[in-house]
This record gives sequence, structure tokens and C-alpha cells, in this order.
Amino acid sequence: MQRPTHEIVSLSERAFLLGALAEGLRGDGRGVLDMRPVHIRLGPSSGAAEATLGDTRALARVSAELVEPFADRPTEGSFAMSVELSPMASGAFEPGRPSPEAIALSRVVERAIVKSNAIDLEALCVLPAKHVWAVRCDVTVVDHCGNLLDVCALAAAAALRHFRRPYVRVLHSEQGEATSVEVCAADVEEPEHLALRHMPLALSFALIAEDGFSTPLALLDGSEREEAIASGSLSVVLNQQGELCALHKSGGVPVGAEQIRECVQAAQLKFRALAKALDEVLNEAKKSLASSAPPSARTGEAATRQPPSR
Amino acid sequence: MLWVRPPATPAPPHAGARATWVTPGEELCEEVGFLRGHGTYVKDGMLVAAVAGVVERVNKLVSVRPYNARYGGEVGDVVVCRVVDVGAKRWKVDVNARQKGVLLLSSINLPGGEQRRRTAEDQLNMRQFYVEHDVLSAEVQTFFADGAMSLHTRSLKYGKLGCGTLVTVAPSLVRRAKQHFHTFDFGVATIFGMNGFIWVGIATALSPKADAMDVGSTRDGGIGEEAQESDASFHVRERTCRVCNAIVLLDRFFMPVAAAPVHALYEKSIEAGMSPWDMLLPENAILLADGLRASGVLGVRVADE
Amino acid sequence: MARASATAPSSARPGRHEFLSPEGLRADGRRQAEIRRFICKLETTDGRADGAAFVAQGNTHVAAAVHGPQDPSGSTRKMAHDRAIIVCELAMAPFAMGEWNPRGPSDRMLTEIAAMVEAVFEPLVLTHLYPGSQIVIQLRVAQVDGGLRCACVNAATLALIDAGVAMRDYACACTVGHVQGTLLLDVSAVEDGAGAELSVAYLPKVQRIALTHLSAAIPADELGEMLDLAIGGCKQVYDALDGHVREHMRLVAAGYGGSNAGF
Repeated sequence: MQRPTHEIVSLSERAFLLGALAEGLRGDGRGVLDMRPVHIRLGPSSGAAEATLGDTRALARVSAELVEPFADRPTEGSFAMSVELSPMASGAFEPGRPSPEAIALSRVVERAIVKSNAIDLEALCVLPAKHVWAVRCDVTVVDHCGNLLDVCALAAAAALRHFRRPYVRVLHSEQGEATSVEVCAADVEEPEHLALRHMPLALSFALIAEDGFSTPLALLDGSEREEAIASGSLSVVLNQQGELCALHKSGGVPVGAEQIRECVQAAQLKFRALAKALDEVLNEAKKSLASSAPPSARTGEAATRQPPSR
Repeated sequence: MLWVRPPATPAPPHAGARATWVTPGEELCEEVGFLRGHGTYVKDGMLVAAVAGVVERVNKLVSVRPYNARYGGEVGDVVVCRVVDVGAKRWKVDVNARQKGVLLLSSINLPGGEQRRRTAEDQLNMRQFYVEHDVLSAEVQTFFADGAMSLHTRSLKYGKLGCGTLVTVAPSLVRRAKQHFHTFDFGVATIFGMNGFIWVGIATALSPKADAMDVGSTRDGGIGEEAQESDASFHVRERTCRVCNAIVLLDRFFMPVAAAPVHALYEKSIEAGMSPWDMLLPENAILLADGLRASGVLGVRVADE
Repeated sequence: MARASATAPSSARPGRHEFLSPEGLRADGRRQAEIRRFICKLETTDGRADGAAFVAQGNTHVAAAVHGPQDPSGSTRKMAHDRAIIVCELAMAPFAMGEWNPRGPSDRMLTEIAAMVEAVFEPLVLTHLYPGSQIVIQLRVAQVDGGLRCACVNAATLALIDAGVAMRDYACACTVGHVQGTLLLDVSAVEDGAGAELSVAYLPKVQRIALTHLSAAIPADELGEMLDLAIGGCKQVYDALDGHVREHMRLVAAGYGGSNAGF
């Protein structure tokens, strides 16, 4: 499978890595199902997050604007994602229009979030047929050291859960009809979190087969070197509700049904650790926000209007 | 596009039909004791078919010949090719194969049949011999390491072709035969290139035969090259057209392309009073094809399968 | 060839908002584990392609043409010295999905599916036999009614076989839908829109899966059952594809081959 990698692995190094894998050893000493260290940092502004898996780093930025809804869906907002593979991440990436790889990455994550109804689009409606929120999540890969999909999904998940959109007040006429909306500044009214039913996270396996076709070995969280010698990949996207949001094996070396099931089970185990790490960071941020929030006239309301439970 | 409905009752299997048809992924035999030929691969100690076709066993060599494939080429094949590029001491030619073929300057006949070392002047005058879009007949001499074919025209029967037209058919329809150069008695000459390029041209009295060493005036031997376009009368052109259409029909119905079937179709179309254009109309084509099958001219090939 | 049951009374069919009636019939009269009407044709002498095929799964129609192995001069992709590169070009008719939507060659969905087809056949084709060349698979989609990726894979498989390109095995693909709690084989667009669709490409002799694609979320513990059902569907597709290839070869041998076989 053609992956954009600047890492050109020499034949002898490839043979060495494959030999080591036959003994159960990965290049960096990890076990077959070990992930690299995960770091998540939430940006100063709401909706900005940075996720790191080992040395692979991605930044996600969520923004929202009020737009007119689509004619056939007047009570729904919209969500769009884009993934940019920045040239500073790897020599294999070129500036300009997104490569097929970038398109595939963003489509997998976007599908996993949208098609699984992670974001409640109806809650984004402010005034039916007039104003709805259009939410965008832009992810930029800043450092490519393998496993871009997981890092992009993690950064997007952190950013979406961290993001708070401005509070919108609907103005009514004397007859009680809703006429217009007023977007309130953050210091006037508390911004609100997005209504999220769940937030999926991705776990990808690099599939290594010596001759490109025999039954492969599945390595969780492949490094760039491992991806360079891999013959395919399998990505599992899960959420807290035990749902499989995406099972992405786009060609590459074929695997048995049993092996797919094993990978999904392994991913479910690892998902808990990843989700826990994300929850911890988000709780920290919430705590620091609550402690530093200036008293406002709406404190009483803010207490009642809690962010929707996940 | 011809749409033909094959008969409701299938053709009876021929007495000699011992052929085994296989499809990709089908196991053939154990690997031990057999040699792996074309169209097969080894999986878990078994020889497995890689293409859809008929199994051929020659002693211990097991191979699968696909019913349709790109021209691969073998040393000694007669091919018809078209010059695509003039390079340094070589021409690049289109042989309808995986890669472009190569005709080295040292592999062609010099004018007058001279045998001498090629000089720098020859290299500068390469365009005097062949330029882009020339069609020639040649023979496969050898293969380069990357699989490209190297051709030669070191016989007077090969060389530039003129006064005729090229018909392309599926390469698997042209079988190896004793003679690929055939002159019909009605004044049309054909070359059945193994690569699926068939040259149909006007035969002249001066068409060089294999033993005509003293033709002299030709730059490099070739069928009809001496003939001028003005020599060709309307009737000869019409016959050439009919032969071309006969070959096109054979290709459309996926029948073997050789002198005998072409001649049979030619005769039948004249008997039926069809013009060369009418031959290609669906109802006439069906008529001709059915007649050809019934006549048994194809018998030799079908029994093979 | 599985056929929609024409004799099922319309009262046994599901109501407007359910997809499987209590009698076990779907909206088009099929059973739960029945694939749609499957038509495939090999069109050996159609045009200048080395191999050509057409596949219709229900109302999803895809035509494929294969050129090669050939000189890679026209391609922007870099040539590999030791194997053939596989290039897929996918084009969809503007009327294919119901609403008029002309998609250019840089359309995101088309590039994704084309990349997927390349990745499916790259390990399957014996590319080391054709060094320094390219194999171009051209797919033309005329109509889509669910299972687009599967129809593309099936059509490409047939076209590659017709072109005589050496492959390890067939790639047969089928979808399984998870709709309102039930599993349905070979879903149409309507059924897919109401639930989740899992597309699976299976190699029947190698017995492994080359492609999985999930369009929406499913409960993770139902994956095993869905994969099993999908593999069953893929085997049905294999029987149809292989049967047609053998029939085509028989007709070719008898002199009825070319674009005429397969009616």
C-alpha cells in the first residue's frame, strides 16, 4: 500500500526489522500491542488541541460560524473536517492541494464522527431554516513519525470536546415570533460545549508480511519505519458505547476474519487507556476554567445548564 | 460492436478435447516433481493457476496459457511494428507488448545488402532508413534484462512496409505457423504478426521472396514497397479492404487469425454477394461466422482446446 | 444467480419504515441472506482495452477496462524497476446517484475509491512478473444503488482476468447491512441509509479478507457475525464470477467468444 513516507528503508535494514519481528521484537523495543506515549495538550483558546503519539504530532482547531442551513435539512447544522499534511511534517508531503492520502485520512475520521452521529447536528440549530452552526475541525499534521490516523483522530476528539461555541440569544418580537439572533461575547455569556453523544478514537495496526502476501503480523501504532516496510494497515475506530465506528482496511495484504476480530478486541482494550488519558486532560482543563472563571450574572444559570454528559 | 446470440445448445465437445480449463486461484498439482511454467505460482507447496486459460503440460513443465493476454514475445517471432522514436543508434518501436521494442542500428540491413560496420555517418542518417510512424516487419532477436524486445530485420523479407494497411487483433488469436507471410492469389499480401498487428497490402510481382537476393532497388526488403500508390487499381484496393474486414470479423468473434480462415471468409463474402462494408453488418457477420464454423476450417484449432 | 423472489405476496413485504417483514422478506422481496441479481459480462474484444468486463449488482452498474501491462510513459506515477504499478481511474456518470452531480477527476470520493482499488489489487496481482510497466484499471460507474466499492472490485477482478494479468485469486466483494438491529446481505442504498453498511472484499481460495469498509457505527460485538455473513455473500459472488469466466472460455474455445459471450 502506497503511504507517503520519506523514510527509505534499505534492503538490509528491512531484513533486520523483519527478522526481529519474527522473534517478537519491534524496532524501538515495544511489544506488538504497545502504543507509544500519548500526550494531549489543550490550547489556550477553546477548540484548539495538540496530540502526540511518540513523535507524531497533530494540531486540531475547531471553529464554528452561523450559516443558513441546507434547504432539505432546515433544522440541522453541519460538521466538516479537513486534514492537512503539512510539508514540515515530512519530506514526502508537498504543499498545495491535498494528496489522496490526506483525503483518505480526513474522510475516515470525518465518516467516523459524522456517520456515527457523534455530534448532535440538531442541537446546532439556532433558528430553523435561518441560522444554524456550521462546525469545522481543521487538523494539521506537524510531525510525521508513523500512525497519522490515530493522532489526527485524537487531536480532533480533544479539540471537539474542548471547544465551546458562543452563546446565542434568540430575540423575539412582541408577538412572540423569533426574529433574529444575537451572538454573545464570551465575557457576557458563558460559551457552550458542543452536544456530543460520544467521541470516537482510532487505533491503527500496521500489517507486516515478509513477502507482501503471507499472513501478516499486526503491530499497534506503527512507527514510520514500520509503516515503510508494512504491506497494509487496519484501522479500528471505537467509542465509549462499545460501538465500532469504522473498520478501515483499504486493500493491502489480506487478513483472515479471525485476525480482524483479534485486532478489534485488542483495540477495545487499548481504547480504554486512551480514552482515560483524554478524559483526564479534559477534566483538568475544566477544573482550571471553573476556578478562573469570573463571576457572572448567569452563574446561577450556568450551574443548571451543565455541559451534556458524555 | 456486434451482438450475437450463441446457439442455445452448446457445441459438442470434440473427441480430442482433453483440455483442462482453469481460473485464477485453482490448484493444479503438487509442486514437488513439476516445474513451474508461465501463468502459475506456488502456494503452500502446490502449483496454482494465476490466469484463466488452458493447462499445458509438457513433460514436467506445467503452465497455463491464458485465453487472452498481452503479447509477450518469444525469440524468432515475426512481428509487425511501428516506429515511435529515433534515438542514438536505435529505434524505439511499438510492438503491442509490455514495453516498447528496440531496433538497433546494427540489426538492420543496409541498402544493397552491404555487410559492414556501422559508421558515425550511418548514425546521423538514421532517418534515411526509418522515421517515426513507419511500419515494418521484423523478427524478435533477443530480450534485454528489463524485458524489452530487441528486433532485427536482417533478412530481405523484413523491412519497411508500404502500400497497405494495418489491422490490430488480439495477440492470442495469431498462432505460430510455418509462414507468416502469405500472398493470396487475388493479389493481396498479408503478414500475420505474432503481436496482433496484421499488415494487409498489395502484392506486386516484385514482392521479394526469401531467395530473391538481387532485388537491388529496395532500401530494405518489404512487401509492396516498390509498388507505388498509383499502381493500385480500385479492384485491388477493394480486395484489400475485404481481406481487412475478414480479419476484423475474426477478431470480433475471437476466432483464430490465419490465412485459411481469412481466405474462407473472403470467398464466402463474395459468394454471398456482400460488399466489403456489408460484411461488417451484424446479420451478415453472423452468417459468415456461422458458415466458417460449420465449414470446419477452424477445426484444427478447436480440437486443440 | 440469486434472484429477487417474484412470487412473494406484497402483503408479506415489509411496511414503510421496517426493512425486514415478519415473514422474513425485504422491500424488494429478497430474504435476509440473499444477494441481489448479479450480472457479469466479459467483453474480450470490446474496444482497445486488453481486458474489459461489466458487473451489475442489483441496480449498481460498473464497467471496467484494463490496459496493460504496458509502457508507463503516460503516467505521472513513478515507475518501479522490479514490479508493475497499478493505477486506477474511476469516473462516475453525473446521473449515477440519482441527483445530478457531475464529479470531476479530483472528487474526494472517487479518488478514495480509486486508491482503494489499487491497494486491493497491488498484493493480489503478481506484479513482479511485469517489471517496469503499469497496469491501468479504468472504472466507469453508470448507476449506484448501494455497494459501489464492491461492484468496483468485482468488475476490476473480471477485467484483470480477461486481460490475462496473472493474479493469485479472485477478489469478490459484497456488503452486509446492519439495519434496525437485523443483518441484511447485499444492501441497497435505501437500506444502507437507514443503518450501517459493511463492505467486504474476500479472496475465496486464499480465504482472507482484502478490504473492509464500514459506513456507520455498529455494535462491536456484532462484527463477527457480520463478517461471517459477508464472507458467505462473497462466496456467492465468487460462484457467479467464476461460473461466468468458465462459460466465457468455453464459448471462446468453440468460436463464439469475443464480446458476444455471456448473454
